[in-house]
Amino acid sequence: MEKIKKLILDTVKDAVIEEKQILTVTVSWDKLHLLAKTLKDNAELPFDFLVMLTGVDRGETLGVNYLISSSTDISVEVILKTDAADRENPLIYTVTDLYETAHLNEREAFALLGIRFINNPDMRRFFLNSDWTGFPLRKDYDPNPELNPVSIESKEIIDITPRIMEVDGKLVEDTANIFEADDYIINIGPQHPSTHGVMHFRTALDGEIIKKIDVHSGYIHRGIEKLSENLTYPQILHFTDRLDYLSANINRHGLCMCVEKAGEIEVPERAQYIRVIMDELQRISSHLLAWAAMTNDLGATTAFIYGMREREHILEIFDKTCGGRLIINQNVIGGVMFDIYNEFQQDVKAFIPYMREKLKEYDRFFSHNVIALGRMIGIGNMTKEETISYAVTGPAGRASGWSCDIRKHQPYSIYGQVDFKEVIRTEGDSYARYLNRLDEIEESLHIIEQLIDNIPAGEICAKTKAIIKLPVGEFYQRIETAKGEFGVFIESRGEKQPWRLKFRSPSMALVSIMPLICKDEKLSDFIGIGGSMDYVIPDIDR
Amino acid sequence: MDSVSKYFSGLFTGIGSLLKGMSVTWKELWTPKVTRQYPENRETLVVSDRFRAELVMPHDANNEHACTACGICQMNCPNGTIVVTSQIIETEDGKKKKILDTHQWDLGMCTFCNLCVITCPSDAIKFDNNFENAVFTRSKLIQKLNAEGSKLREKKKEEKPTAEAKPVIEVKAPVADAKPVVEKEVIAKVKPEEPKAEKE
Amino acid sequence: MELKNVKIKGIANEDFNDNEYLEDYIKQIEASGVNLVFGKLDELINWGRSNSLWPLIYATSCCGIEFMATAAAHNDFSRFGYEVTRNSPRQADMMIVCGTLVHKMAPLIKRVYDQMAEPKYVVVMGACAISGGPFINSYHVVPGIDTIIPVDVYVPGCPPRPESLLYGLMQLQRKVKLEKFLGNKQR
Ligand code: SF4
Ligand code: SF4
Repeated sequence: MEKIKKLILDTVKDAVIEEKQILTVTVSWDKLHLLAKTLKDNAELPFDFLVMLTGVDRGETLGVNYLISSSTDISVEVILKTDAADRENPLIYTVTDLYETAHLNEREAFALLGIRFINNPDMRRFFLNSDWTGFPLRKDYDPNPELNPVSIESKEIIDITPRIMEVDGKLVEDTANIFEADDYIINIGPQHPSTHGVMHFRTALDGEIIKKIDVHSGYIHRGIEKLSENLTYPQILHFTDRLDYLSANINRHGLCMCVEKAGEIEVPERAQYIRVIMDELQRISSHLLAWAAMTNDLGATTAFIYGMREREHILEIFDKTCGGRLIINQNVIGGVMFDIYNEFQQDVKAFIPYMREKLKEYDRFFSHNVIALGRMIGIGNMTKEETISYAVTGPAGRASGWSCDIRKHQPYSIYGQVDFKEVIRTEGDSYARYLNRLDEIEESLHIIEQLIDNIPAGEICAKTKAIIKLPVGEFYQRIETAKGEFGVFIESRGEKQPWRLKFRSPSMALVSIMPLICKDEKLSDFIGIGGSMDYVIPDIDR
Repeated sequence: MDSVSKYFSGLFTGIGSLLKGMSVTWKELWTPKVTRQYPENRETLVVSDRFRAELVMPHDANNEHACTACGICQMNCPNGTIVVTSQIIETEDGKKKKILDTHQWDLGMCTFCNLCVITCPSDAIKFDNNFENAVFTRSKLIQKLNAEGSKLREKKKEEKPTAEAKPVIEVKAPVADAKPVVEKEVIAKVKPEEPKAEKE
Repeated sequence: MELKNVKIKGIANEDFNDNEYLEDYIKQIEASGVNLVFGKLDELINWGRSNSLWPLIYATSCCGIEFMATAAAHNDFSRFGYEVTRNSPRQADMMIVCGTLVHKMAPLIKRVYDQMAEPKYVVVMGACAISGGPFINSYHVVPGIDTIIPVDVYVPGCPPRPESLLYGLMQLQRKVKLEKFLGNKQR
């Protein structure tokens, strides 16, 4: 870390370095790109993984926080902070040329906070319609519904993007076309059975071959981050279940841990055990659904029914424990809401061999099927470099040979005490992602097996203060969901509500790489690749 | 390998893999069915006791409930699903006392987050697992939980929350900033007791 | 048609919620005159219609997953003839809206609804679709589908469990069974 600090100071002399939970560096807006580039090119420990890009309204100014990490060791973290010089016309240099994942994140920051990024080739609003009045995440946003009434008139989609480029040291505002004039474009989505939610892919085709994809999102943008700014921490929890609802419990675990870390709340051991077991069950159920949906996309309806059938057993356990099947509201700040029921262990232990047997069955009847193989092997390839640049984590990232499991690299809760393998493949195609998920189910079963008999007795929830107020500061928490790395960022100003809350969505990265890996593939394979990525749209839109 | 034999070996491995797959699905024909026959099994259907489908306010045989109209549930609800209205009456000994007028809960809006139940200081409300709630009219989903003519159950020992029930709960439209003003009591009860698992 | 003649296997008529609405509905239909010729034929047609309601799934978020669970082995809604989920609005009888509706989506749901052929029904599933649910205070969420298109059945829950949805769909069946298909226009 000392070396890194020296490197930072050598690059930008007036950088302000603070030793907080994470090393935080504040630089002026015109130096940020230089600093990021230096850190990324640092041969010893390249900071080539942009974990989170968060636009923040700091009151006086609008700024951006970048949480960067290294692909070689994802536990090292540095935060870069910068502020736009002018609140009326906030401008910051883009880092899209360094980290591809910044592209969509910067567009999001533009839509929600109005920060424009110089040299980003595409500065359309993400999530919101282009004629939206105001920037919702600004503190002075006017929520008056009359300004933005619900309209049932369909809007034309205009494939022209404004942008702001630096040419010879001068800023030039111009526009660019997304597609070429004679491109043949079809719309996939927003309401299409195989996009796994309400995603809208505008796809330019050359015959059957995909030439270019333009991703439109926001068809399920619910403004969770803005809503959270008016709610107390316990009240915010219920939103996390509705982000990536397939990893509902894991998301919630992430937010709870972030608040617990900030508020220095000790979680009882029993609660930790319950949390981890539930997380792993949730992971299995999510992978099962992903498997089912993917096979369905490839045309195997039987397999879909099988996956859903096995999943139902987990839902039943959830139902009996927490009174919810999909959205289970289990974790609370300081522990869990519901203790396990009497036959919990028995049910889970019965499920483990059952699932193992079914995994063998899946292997027999789908994993080696010629048609399935033909539609998965060598399709949707991504290299490790691309994976890192687009910040694709989770089973998809690990299918390209990138070791990025937070549970291994930054063990949280009791993951440090259990033994499990990080499933890594290097092929980087749909089939590798497919197999990774099935193998991770096996690993999750293995984790549960180690814990289920050893749940310690004791409290299930720590006593928390009457009002949970977090100290002033910025808090980050990263956690491994079934889709990849989920992140929570809370900026607290000592209130009972957060000043700014941001979730890093693993699915956003998965979708952002779709245009790249689908290029030059057949249109029908686009569906299969989408299935192998397993994104959940409400997680992206938040 | 010449192309013909490659073709045939490909063909046969292909057919082999299909047959292998079909053996699994074929076996499925003889396994017991898993389908739950709702609604035919309505009498025997077991729904987990903890399942949250409907908020209820248990009343005893004397038509008495435990709600003191303190409004804590309303303040903890993240989206304004609960509206508690109360009125001030004068008891015989001349003291002012707040009693419950209506406890209104909107089934069509509730997120079943359980915050209202775990923060209620008098355990006056709980979730029930009756899931058959579909209706044709939106207004039917807005329910009044306290029964007609019901009143507060008098406890022998002084009930703690009544004394602290100072927040002014006016009937107001659910608003975004229904900030929990009374957090004093709010989280105090967060330690959840073994929730009604085995009884009933 | 009288309400007591509407039969659903497994659940008695009086056990259903909101029978008042159906009574009113009968009166409305009745008011436009009873057609003796078509009476029995109507019943037959409605028997067929109510047991082959093909849904169009408008799944936007979490509730969509519970819908999938309803379709899968454990709850298997093909027992009711719902399994033919249509992806084209032109072939669907009813639309099941599962999930939050936001501003950007509002024009699209309206368009899909308009594309459906009469008679058409809308079942909304979950708090979000009914009222905006958890996100009711958000700047980008439509507070309830019924502000945009007419709704027939509300299935509350967040998400409703599969049995809840089945119950809601049976409610719809009851409504369909009451209607007069021939010689009359309901909506
Ligand atoms: S469960 Fe949650 S949303 Fe529903 S009434 Fe209670 S506090 Fe409100
Ligand atoms: S009602 Fe609840 S479960 Fe359904 S979409 Fe809305 S938040 Fe998700």
